[in-house]
Amino acid sequence: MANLLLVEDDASVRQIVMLQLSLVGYDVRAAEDAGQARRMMEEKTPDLAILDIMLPGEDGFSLAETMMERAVPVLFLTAKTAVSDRVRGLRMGAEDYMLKPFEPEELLARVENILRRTRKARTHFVFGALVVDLPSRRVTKGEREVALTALEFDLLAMLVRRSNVALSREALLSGVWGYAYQGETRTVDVHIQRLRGKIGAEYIETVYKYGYRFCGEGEGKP
Amino acid sequence: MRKRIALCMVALVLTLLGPGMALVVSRSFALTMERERARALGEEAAIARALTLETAEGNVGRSTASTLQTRYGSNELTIYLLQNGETITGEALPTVQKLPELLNTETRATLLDGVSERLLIAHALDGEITLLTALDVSPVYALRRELLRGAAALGLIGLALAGALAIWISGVLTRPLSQLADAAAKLADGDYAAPLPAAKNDEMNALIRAFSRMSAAIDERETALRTQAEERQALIDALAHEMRTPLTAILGGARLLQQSRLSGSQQSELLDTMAREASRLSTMDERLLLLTRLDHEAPAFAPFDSQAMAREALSVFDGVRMEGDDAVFVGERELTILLLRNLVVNAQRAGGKEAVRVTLHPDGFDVTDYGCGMTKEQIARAFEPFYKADKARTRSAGGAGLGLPLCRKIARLHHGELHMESEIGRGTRVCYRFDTSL
Repeated sequence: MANLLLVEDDASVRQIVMLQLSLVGYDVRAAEDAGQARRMMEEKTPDLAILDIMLPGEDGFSLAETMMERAVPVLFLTAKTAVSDRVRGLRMGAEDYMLKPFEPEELLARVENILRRTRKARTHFVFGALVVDLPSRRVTKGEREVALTALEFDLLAMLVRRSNVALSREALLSGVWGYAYQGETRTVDVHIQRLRGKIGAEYIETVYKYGYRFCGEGEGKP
Repeated sequence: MRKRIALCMVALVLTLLGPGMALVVSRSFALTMERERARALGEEAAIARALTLETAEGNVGRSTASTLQTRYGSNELTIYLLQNGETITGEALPTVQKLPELLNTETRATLLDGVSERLLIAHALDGEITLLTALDVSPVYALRRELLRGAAALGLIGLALAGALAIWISGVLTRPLSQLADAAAKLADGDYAAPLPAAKNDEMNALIRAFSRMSAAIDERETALRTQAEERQALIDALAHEMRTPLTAILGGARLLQQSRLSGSQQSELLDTMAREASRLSTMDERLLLLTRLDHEAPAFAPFDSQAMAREALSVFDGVRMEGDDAVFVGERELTILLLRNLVVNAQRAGGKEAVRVTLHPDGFDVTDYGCGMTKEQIARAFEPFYKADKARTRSAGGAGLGLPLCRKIARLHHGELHMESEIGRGTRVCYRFDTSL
């Protein structure tokens, strides 16, 4: 699983972002200033650094330069809304630039995009007996191969990538079917039912009035 | 303005130069004429004497006249002899209008005739003979005409020169005015640095000074307004930025609660964080409201007891020492309590082994802590909205970054000031002094 380094000086935001990322299965370490971040980077080079810009002492831009020298992709997460800051951040080679406040879902999507671009994204998932391999589009449960339609596989892939975090029906619909199907959330429900029938109902939870969540705690159990 | 000045000058030159030259010409004419008259009278007297001798011998006749003419006369001087109003020689008398009156004289009379330009002298002699001498004075008249023509030419040249001079002078006089008009136009466009003319005369200088005072005053006022607007904008920007962090935590926390499977302890931790961030927002809001209220409302000052006020302010804290004598403060008691509490909160945040100390003075108080201290740079920025010398410590203590700006506003409301001195590792003292003359 990808290992991320979060540098954020505000304790509340640090706590919440860390929780969001670790729930999906990322290995997250958090630092509250540049010095601590550098020490953590020495211990183990992260696959992605998520940096606040306004840090006490050395700021995020300067820290990002060191990160990029070591080929660590950088995502800025900041309250600095000025276009000039965004341009500066992206021009110096950051992968992305996100403004606070943000939707956790968006953060996850952008983190995933960066990891996919840098080929660090996880493509092989094991949840107990259930194994999902994205490149070969194969799903097995125990010894038996589970036959899924293309749509069902895409739906499952989207869910396992965000295991433990709920996805709304709208997000699933636009992610799998595309925007042309907007509004037809019943389609999602129908396919989720079929998917549950094929892989086992216990893997997909219904989140009341919202959508669905894939339960994939740890690598061992469902 | 320029035209009027030029016209006035030309008119002035005309009224002075015209009569002056006319006077000179007529005076010189009169003098020359007087000399001619004296010469003519002298000559005529000689002729008359000679004639008297002739008449005494009683042989006055036609020949006498021609003899006189040849002996005394010339081209200019013509001599006539008259007897009973007729010339003896029978020649015609010069046509002069007032000749009959002249000839009527009993003795000697002169007449200057401007038409024929002759000076006539009639002299009644014995034997009813009258001697009439006519002197041609046309050269004198010609001289006068010459002079008048010259004067006219001179006048015209003078007038032209005066006109040119007037245009130039009026230009010089009004140049500062048109430059001032340019400067005013530039001022209207917002250029306060437009050069102002320098004038030599006092009235114009007074106008220019007044104008430059006015433009400086406008510039100053506009700068003040702009600074105020910039400060307000900076506060709004800082506020927007400052609100984003708690909002991120609250929004992120809510989404996590909504979307994720969390353990009970994770949930309660999240809720704690969210509640803390929400209360930080609410403190921020409260302080901002108070800051704006203090900007707009006139304070209600009243005397109050300083020790009782400090006791009330410190009742919410533990372990704060108070010292100093009682005094009567004049000001807003509630705001003074708020000020003292804010300073004590900051002092306690600085940490330190010894208790925070509040010292009362007749004109204010000091709040001293023995904590971490602040650098000069931190002190300089301490009163900026949302500036936090130690972000982590302030945040964890629920600070909003508006305490000191609010304190300073309260101090200034009392025409006072906050003064901060600090030493790293030794502690910080904040002194509040208000104006006791209020």
